[in-house]
Amino acid sequence: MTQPLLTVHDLRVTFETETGPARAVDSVSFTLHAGETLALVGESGCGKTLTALSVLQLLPDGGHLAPTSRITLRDQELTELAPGTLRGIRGREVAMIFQEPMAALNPVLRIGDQLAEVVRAHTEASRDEAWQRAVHMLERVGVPDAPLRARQYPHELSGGLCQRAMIAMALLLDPALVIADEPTTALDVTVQAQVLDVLRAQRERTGLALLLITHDLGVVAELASRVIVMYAGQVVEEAPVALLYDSPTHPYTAGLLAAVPTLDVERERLPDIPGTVPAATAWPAGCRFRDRCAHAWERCAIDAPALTQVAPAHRVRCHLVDEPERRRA
Amino acid sequence: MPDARSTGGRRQRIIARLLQSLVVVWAAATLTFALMRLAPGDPYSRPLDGAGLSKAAADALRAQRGLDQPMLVQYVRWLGLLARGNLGWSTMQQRPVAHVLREALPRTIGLMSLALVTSLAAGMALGTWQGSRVGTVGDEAASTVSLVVYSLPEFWLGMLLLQLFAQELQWLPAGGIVAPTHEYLPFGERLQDRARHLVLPWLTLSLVGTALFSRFQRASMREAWREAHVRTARAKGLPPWRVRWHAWRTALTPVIGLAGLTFPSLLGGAVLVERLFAWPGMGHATVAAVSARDYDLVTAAVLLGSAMTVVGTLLADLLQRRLDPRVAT
Amino acid sequence: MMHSASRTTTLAVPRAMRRPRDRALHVPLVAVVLLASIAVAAPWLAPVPPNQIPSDGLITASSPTMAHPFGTDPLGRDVLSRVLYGARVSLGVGTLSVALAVGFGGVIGAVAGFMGGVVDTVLMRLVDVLLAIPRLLLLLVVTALWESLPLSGLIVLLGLTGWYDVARLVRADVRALCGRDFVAAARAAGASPARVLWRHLVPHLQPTLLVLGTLGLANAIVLEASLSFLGLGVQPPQASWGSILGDGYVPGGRRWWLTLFPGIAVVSSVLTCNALADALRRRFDGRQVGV
Repeated sequence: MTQPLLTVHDLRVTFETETGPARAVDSVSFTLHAGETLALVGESGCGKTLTALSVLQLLPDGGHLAPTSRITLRDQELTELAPGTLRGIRGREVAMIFQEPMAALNPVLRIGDQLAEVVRAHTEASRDEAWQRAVHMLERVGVPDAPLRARQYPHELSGGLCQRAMIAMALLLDPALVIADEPTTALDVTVQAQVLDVLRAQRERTGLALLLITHDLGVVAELASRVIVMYAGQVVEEAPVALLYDSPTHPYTAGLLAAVPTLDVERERLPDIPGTVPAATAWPAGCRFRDRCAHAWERCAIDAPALTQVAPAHRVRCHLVDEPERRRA
Repeated sequence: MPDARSTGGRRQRIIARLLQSLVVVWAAATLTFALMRLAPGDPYSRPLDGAGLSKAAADALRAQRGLDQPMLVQYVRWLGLLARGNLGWSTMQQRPVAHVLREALPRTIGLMSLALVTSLAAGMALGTWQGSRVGTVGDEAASTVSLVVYSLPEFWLGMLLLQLFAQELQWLPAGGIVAPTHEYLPFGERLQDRARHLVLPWLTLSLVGTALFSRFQRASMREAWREAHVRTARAKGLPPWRVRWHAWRTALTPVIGLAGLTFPSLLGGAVLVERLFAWPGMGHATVAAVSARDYDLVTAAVLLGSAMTVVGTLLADLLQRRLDPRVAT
Repeated sequence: MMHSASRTTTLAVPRAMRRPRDRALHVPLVAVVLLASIAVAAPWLAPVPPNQIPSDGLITASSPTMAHPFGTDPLGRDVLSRVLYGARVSLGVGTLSVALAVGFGGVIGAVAGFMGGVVDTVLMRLVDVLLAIPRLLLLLVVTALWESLPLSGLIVLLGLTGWYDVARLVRADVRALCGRDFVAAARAAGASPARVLWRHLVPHLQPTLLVLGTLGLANAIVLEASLSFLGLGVQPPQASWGSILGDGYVPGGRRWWLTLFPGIAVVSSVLTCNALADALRRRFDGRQVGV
């Protein structure tokens, strides 16, 4: 087993609110190896985006990382890096792709300039060289008429093209890890497929590791080899993708999968998971999913389940692991 | 989405804008004309130089000036003259209005432009400085000072500065544009003389402007700081000054827009300041002309004031377009 | 103002996390009440009638003494009394003119926004033209041409030159609030669109109108003071802060009490208004947006 590329251990992110601290990410741990694609799945507010932002220390104002949290890239401890060193890693070894490409790009600068900027910030390249590299990369990700597009502004490009530009920007310096935060959510369905193709192609080409944040299980199926399901700031299930889709263990995972519409099954109503996520300032005692779970019993209200290994690559946080007979039909 | 703006289209839009501005100026001029004619009295109902005019003499002068004609006839005549560049005759100064303005206007424009440029520069610098350290002692102190300065009436500020620097400390002259002995001074001292006379009026006009722009810039920076593209800039590993520049660049647009809108109040301020410091500009001439019912001079002054306002907004608009590709027609 | 698509940026930063905003509102509100009370109570607070010229003694400006805590003006009148009575004029003119401006502008804006089409275009073009004429210049011209304008005239004048921004903003709000769908929906529900508009619109516009009104008041106070300073606003012997400043202004004069006290009165009123506007804006927007 080779050394993992990224190790996240006991990640806790807290926000200070008037009603007390909100533990938005509550002890999340995972590893990612080179070349792997790991998907972080969950509904809005489960903490997956904050987890992703924590890697590059990009938490919004007011968010704190707990001192015990560890984020290790190869053998560098990212939480303890000097700001200068951290900046050297951002954009170069680890790059990020954001959700709304048009908003994530500076609207008053040309696309080409924004890409070239990354090159010039991290290398000794001249202005021309950086520009050439930018245009070249745009071509690689399939932007037609790249030299022209590079001279345009974000609002002149469609959403799909903008996202391709963002991907190009992330890949310019050949990072080992790309963190994609909901890369296709803001796009049309047809465009989504194209963008996923681009990601896949680049992954083939460079062998990069991909940390994919999404709530869309379809995207997960397309790209990921492993999945982590998050709920209420915690990891509730972790498994290889095929296993997860075939036999989800955690009731929440099962619920998510059941809520995905498919063409081959006739249904009148899509099943949804009743209830809502509890507030991050007041996580309930016991299992946090208890109120929405069809299988919950008394133990679930008192005892918070721990993340247990049920198979070599499969972990679940649920009492049903101990007491499978409690599972209702 | 290809670029929808061809050069021809842009030129068309600019021309349309110019025509629109022209119409606005004409309408404002017409309004002023109407106002002047509606007011009780005319240039000859008030004694000039203390000597009263007999009714017959006054009527004769009125007939000579065409003031006994119906309103519409007067209006058409006036428009015709205006189109030929004839701004009329100053009854108060007994020479063409154009001559009066040729002397007075540059002085006012000089003072106003200087004040605008410096207050914009200083205001933006202060606001940007504040914007990157919101909540700190420095920021709070600067905000309070800005608020107070912004609340000072310009003429009162002028009075204070006058009393302090010109009367108590005697560092600077109390008024006028040049010293009485100006003509006899060597070149270097002449420059110095002009500069010394400029300081107090300029300071009075620009201090309040600086407070205004710094407040706006601070707010604009705060909003820009939160935008998605700033986070992207950070994620790219750009140095802190470059990230700040990204935010500043998008915060610039509304501030430029505001600058264009300050022309009317800048003019108003100039009127008061010129009166206070005996600065022989357009404002000073207008105040005197109004009391003397110098129709033509007053109408021309208001016309020019409106033109300046329109030009100001136009320039700001053009600059915004140049800086920010998102600004639509 | 700014196009902002930063939904993804401010995640999970609870509103309650920022400093409590209500506290910032109290101070300016108290100040407003204080100023208003002083204005109303002027007759009881003033030691002597404000226009009283001493029959004995020197008719000259004298520095502050026990008898005249703010000194006297060039006609020997007590400055403290004049400042107190001046509060009624300056604040009264300001408030009434702003009420007029907001009311008038609100109606125009609502009509333009609601009716759309030609009416909207005409009204907004009119606003464009009126905005082009610098306000002080216009006021200067009118007040100088119509000599001895009564106080009511001054109020109307200030009001009729200060409604443009209100009209524009109200129009924008109305347009945003009601498209054609709104009218259709209202009719389908059996209600008259105008009535529903009124019931829903006014509470929605309240924040905008309040902020604009407060800012407008600050402007109006300064404008009235400026005009009166030039001798064009309130007519003598009526005291307004501006006219006290104007009466006492002599180039090269060293009579600081004639500049300081009325000036402080103006500045504190304007400062209160601006601080109030800031606090209101913060309360309504959750963050400070521009001036």
